Amino acid sequence: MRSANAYKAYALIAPAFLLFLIFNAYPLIWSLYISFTSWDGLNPVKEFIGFDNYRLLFENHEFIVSIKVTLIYVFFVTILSTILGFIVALNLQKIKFSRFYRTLYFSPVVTATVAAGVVWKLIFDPFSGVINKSLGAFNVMGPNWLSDTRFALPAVIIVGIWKRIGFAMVVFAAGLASLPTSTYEAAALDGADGIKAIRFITIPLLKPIFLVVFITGIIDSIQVFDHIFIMTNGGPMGSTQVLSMLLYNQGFRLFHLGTASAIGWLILLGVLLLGTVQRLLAKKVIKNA
Amino acid sequence: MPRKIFVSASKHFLLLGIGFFVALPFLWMITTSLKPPKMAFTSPYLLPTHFHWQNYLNAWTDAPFARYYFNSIFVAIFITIGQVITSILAAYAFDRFDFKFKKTIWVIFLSTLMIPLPLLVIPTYQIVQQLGLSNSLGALIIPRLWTAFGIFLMRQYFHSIPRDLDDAARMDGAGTLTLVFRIIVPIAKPAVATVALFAFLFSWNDFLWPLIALNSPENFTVPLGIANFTGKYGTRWTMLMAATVTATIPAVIGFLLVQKSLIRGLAAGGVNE
Amino acid sequence: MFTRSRKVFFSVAIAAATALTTSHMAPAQAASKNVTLEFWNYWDGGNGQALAGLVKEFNSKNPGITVKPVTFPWGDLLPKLQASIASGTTPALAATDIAWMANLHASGKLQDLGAALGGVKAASSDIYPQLLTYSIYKGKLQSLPASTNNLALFYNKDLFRKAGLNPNKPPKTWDEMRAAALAISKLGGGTQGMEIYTGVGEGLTWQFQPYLWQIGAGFLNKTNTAPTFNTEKGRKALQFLVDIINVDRSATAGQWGAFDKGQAGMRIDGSWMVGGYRENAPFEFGTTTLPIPTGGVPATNMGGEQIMSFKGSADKNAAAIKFIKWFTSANIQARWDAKTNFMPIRASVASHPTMLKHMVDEPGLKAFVDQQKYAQARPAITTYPAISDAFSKALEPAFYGKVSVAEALAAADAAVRKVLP
Repeated sequence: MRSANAYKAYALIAPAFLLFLIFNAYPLIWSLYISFTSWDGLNPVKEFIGFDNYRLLFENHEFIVSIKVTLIYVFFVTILSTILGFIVALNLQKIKFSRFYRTLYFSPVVTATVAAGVVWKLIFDPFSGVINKSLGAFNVMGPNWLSDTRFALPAVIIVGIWKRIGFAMVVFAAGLASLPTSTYEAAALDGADGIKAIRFITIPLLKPIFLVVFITGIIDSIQVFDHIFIMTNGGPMGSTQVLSMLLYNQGFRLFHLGTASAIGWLILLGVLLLGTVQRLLAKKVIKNA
Repeated sequence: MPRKIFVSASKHFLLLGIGFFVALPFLWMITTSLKPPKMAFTSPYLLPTHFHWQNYLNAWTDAPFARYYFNSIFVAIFITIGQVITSILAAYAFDRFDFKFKKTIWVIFLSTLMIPLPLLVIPTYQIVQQLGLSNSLGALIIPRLWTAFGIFLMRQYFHSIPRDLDDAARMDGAGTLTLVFRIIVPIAKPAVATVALFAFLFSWNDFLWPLIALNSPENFTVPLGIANFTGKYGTRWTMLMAATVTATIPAVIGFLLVQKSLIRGLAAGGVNE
Repeated sequence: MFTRSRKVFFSVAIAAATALTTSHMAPAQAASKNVTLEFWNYWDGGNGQALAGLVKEFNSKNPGITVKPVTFPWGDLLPKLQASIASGTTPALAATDIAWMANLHASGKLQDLGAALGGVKAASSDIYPQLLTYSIYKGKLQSLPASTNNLALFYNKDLFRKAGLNPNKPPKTWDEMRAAALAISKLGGGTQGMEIYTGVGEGLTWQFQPYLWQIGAGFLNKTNTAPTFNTEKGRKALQFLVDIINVDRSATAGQWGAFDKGQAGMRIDGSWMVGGYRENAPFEFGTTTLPIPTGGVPATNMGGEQIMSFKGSADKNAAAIKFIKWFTSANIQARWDAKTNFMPIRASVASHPTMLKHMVDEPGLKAFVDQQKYAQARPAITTYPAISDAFSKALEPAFYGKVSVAEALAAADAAVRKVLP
């Protein structure tokens, strides 16, 4: 199609683009402007302060810790949910009750994160929660999950994985369904089946899918907020304070809209950076696949 | 034969094991939703022994949940239709055409997926107010009528549809819109189902934006209604659980129904770059 | 065939357009007959129902005015107000936490109630002075107290009995409280002696301030320009709590919620919880005034909400004033408090027959009423949320035993000074 038809293309994109301009581009630029002010969200006056918000953030220990916490969270939730989703999808191929299992695994994805956070908080309760009560049956003293700096982050990570397995499973199920059976038959004739087949056929062929699950996982987990807010509110001692929580607290609790916007923009830039790196890697992976 | 049974049994064992972990909160939710209020924190926790259906009745009458459901469904339907249509149109353009700034616009669109939501809430609210939409269901719908994710998914799927179809249709004198909606889309049904499901789920669970955009209880959506059970003055657990169970069920049923289409949609060409 | 889909498309579009705009149109149509005032608040559950009842009465007594209460979760009301102020879509009426008032006053969008109600003195006649610190901004009365409450000691009578303590003789001093907590924690099975709030945020600050006031350390100085807690007395107060957690082990850092479930002996909480505990607690509970240290003075923290009106059209302004005057009147406040277990905002409410009868019906409230005169207000300055946040962040590690009390208070002192203008 030559560019003579370009105007048709623009017309097709127009609805999405218009919405983008009004509801994404403009708010984004507005928030960029606010990030250079010391606005408190209520005062009609917005005082310009240049790069101060950004500079202060990098000098702020809390911000650095938050970056660390976010990276740890994203890393574990993405990797573990991807692996578990893959294993589950593998096992769901040609099995009885697959429909039931799939629905069960996908249910966390459709559950309101607020409610899920509340329930998991109770499950992790050190005295009356199901987990510690079960450990107690084996005479093991369960820790104070959500109030222990060593266990709070793992606890919210577990919930993050719980919420995401179903999604990974569905995507892998799709990928597995599209694999050519002929390859497996040929390999089986050579004696490569079972685990070997998985290692040498399935996984390499699914590399692009792993990548998609990965990327969406990262994008998703960077924005995590709801269940952490309910379960630990960023504590204890900031050990679960991910960046989006810091943003929310600064903007909506402490009246530091400028700082909050700066954090938001730093998150965006960080993710864009990661996204670019991933895309470069993806091109390499597909070339070699 | 025995080997087959062993393999099958261990598969089920694994699936049930992980499945129990996945089901744990739901068991707790359902059990608690059926307990009388004072018993919220006594055993048993995972299997219901009491059946205090009153909680469901109270949860439904304490706040106009029927209204919240209607609002949520109304909003979800329109967002779904909107996202599907805008995604189809844009995806077709990106896949079949070449035009100036194509790459740039594509990248910009995709990067919108990485914008932290709380960042945009206040300026979006100002715009919505200026458009005269504040406190209406339109405020929930219009900003969400498009999504880069949907365009991305659709484009992938369209890529696998041969261009000969386009050429044949044009030779029969079909205009672009006819071509897209009457020829391409019917083939892309799985992708459409996928985009529709994600749109619906996103809309169903959305909390922060409806919270900011809506002021009148008659416009509230289900997540807002649920949040009202955890107040400053204490949480009413049993009712909260009852409300949550009723909020989750439609989505679960929805998934049960579209499973197959969804997986097919993501399969054939959907995720293979 | 194509025309059929066109028809469908257009009918859907029209239906959508109608639905989208009607929900926005309704209030406008109502305006010509009636003034509708949205009243934003976070009073949910029983309180929300009590409010609804009172509002219904007001509406029927005032044809031409319709007050519409809208309830949001506590944590979300403030972002909503921020968004509404930023976009000029403020509600006519709102009731918010007193801790947010300083910033709301500074927005410049609140109606001057004093001017409308015949002068500041007349409008605030017998209202308790500490409450007015949140209502007056630069000499103008821009809000009025809608409710108040304070913190007292809740205790689990069943656990007291089990531990051999007299359930009718709750602790009166810090030492007695510590001893009781120790005794109860020895019951085992995960039972906590008492609960101490140690999570970052205003919760920690507001629960700890009474200890500082009781021992004489204070929080900020009278002019709110410098912190006063980094002293020997302040350290004593913090050490007291830290020892209960880390030496006696009768409380756990980061743990909150065990008392509701009958698994903790004591907890400091507000009057609004009395009704809830009476209905839902799986144990018999009691309340008493906050224990004080030897040589200390009684003190407790004051909470509550203020009611205000955002400037709007002339008829809405007038109607809002009418409602505020009605809602804060002694008669209505007495009935309001009787239903919600909030405390009287003015002397005429405390002595009102409805209130007196309620005191008899709800014995759990006695402790709160007795303490009301010792309730102190937190600094009503715009930087308070940031101060409270910094203070709590500096203290949290001390509760976990990660830093010494002296270090924590010194860090808190430095952090607070940084925030203060």
